[in-house]
Amino acid sequence: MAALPGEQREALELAYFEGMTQTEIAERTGAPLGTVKSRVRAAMQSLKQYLQ
Amino acid sequence: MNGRHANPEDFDLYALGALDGEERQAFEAHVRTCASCAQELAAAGEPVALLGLAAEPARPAPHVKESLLRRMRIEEAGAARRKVPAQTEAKTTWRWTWLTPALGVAAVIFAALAAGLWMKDARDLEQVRNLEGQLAEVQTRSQEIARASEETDKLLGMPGTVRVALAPMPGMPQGRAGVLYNAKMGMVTCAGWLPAAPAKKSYQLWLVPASGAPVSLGVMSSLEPAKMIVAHVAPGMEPRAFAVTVEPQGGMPQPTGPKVLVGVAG
Repeated sequence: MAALPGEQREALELAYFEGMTQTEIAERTGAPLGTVKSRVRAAMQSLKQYLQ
Repeated sequence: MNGRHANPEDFDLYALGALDGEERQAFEAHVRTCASCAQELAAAGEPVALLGLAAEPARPAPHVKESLLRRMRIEEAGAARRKVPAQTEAKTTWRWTWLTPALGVAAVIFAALAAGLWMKDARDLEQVRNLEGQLAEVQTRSQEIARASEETDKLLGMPGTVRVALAPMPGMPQGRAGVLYNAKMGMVTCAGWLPAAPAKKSYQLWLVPASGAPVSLGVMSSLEPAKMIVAHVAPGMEPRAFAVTVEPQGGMPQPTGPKVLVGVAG
C-alpha cells in the first residue's frame, strides 16, 4: 500500500481501516463522490497487479 | 447500474464495505440476479481479503467506534420515522374513542392504551438490545482484526512461515483466502473473502495434517464478507492442506459439510 499514490492510499485506508463509506470519504477528503470511486478503483487495480 | 451490469467501481467499493445508500441496494439487487456480476464481485473480494495479510498492522482509530455508533443511531432514527404514520393513526383512533361517554368503553380504551405503551416499551427495549448486540459484534470484530494484524506481522517475520492460497471448489460459492502457517510455532492466520454462509450455517477452517484427522482452526466471522481467523495448534504439525467447509452454525468438531475452499500446502 505504501507504493500507492497518496490520494488513492488515503481513500483505501479510510475505507478499509476506518470503515468509512464512499460518502463519508468524500466528505472527509473534500473530493467529489465520483473521484472517490475512481481513486478506490485505481488503488484496487494497482494492488491486484502487485499481489499477482 | 451501467446498462446491463453494475458499474466497475462499485465492485471494489462493495467488497470494501464502502458502497452505501441506494447505490448499495441497487447493486445488491442486481448481483443477486446476475451471475456475471456475482463472479466479478467474488474476484473483487480477493485483493480486499489479502489486504489483511499485506498491510502493515493497524489498530482502529479511536473515532471509528464513534463513527459506527453514529451510523447505528441514524439507522435507528430512520426506522422510527418510518413508524410515525402508524402511530399517528393509532393516536387519532384513541382520541375519538375517548369521547365515548360509556365508562366501560373508557376502561377498555385505558387498558388498550396501557397495553400499547407496554408494547412500545417492549419494542424500544428490543431495539436497544439489538443495538447492544450489534455494538458487541463490532467491538469483537475490531479486536479480531487488531489481533489478526499483530499475529500476521509476527508470522511474516518468522523463518519457516509458509503461505497457502485457498481456491474455490467447483460448484461452490466464489471466494478466496490466504493462510500463513508456521509449523514450529503452531501459529496460523487466515484472511479471506466469502459470500454470506447459508442460513444457520457457518464457514469453518480446517488444517488437514499429513496423517490423522483434520484439526479445526475456528469458525469464520459472519459479520462481513471479509473473514479472518487466528489460531494456534500443536507445534510441529505438518499440514497437507487447509480447507474451508460449510458446517452447522457455530462449527463442528470434525468436518461434515462440503468443502468450499481448498489449498494444498507445500
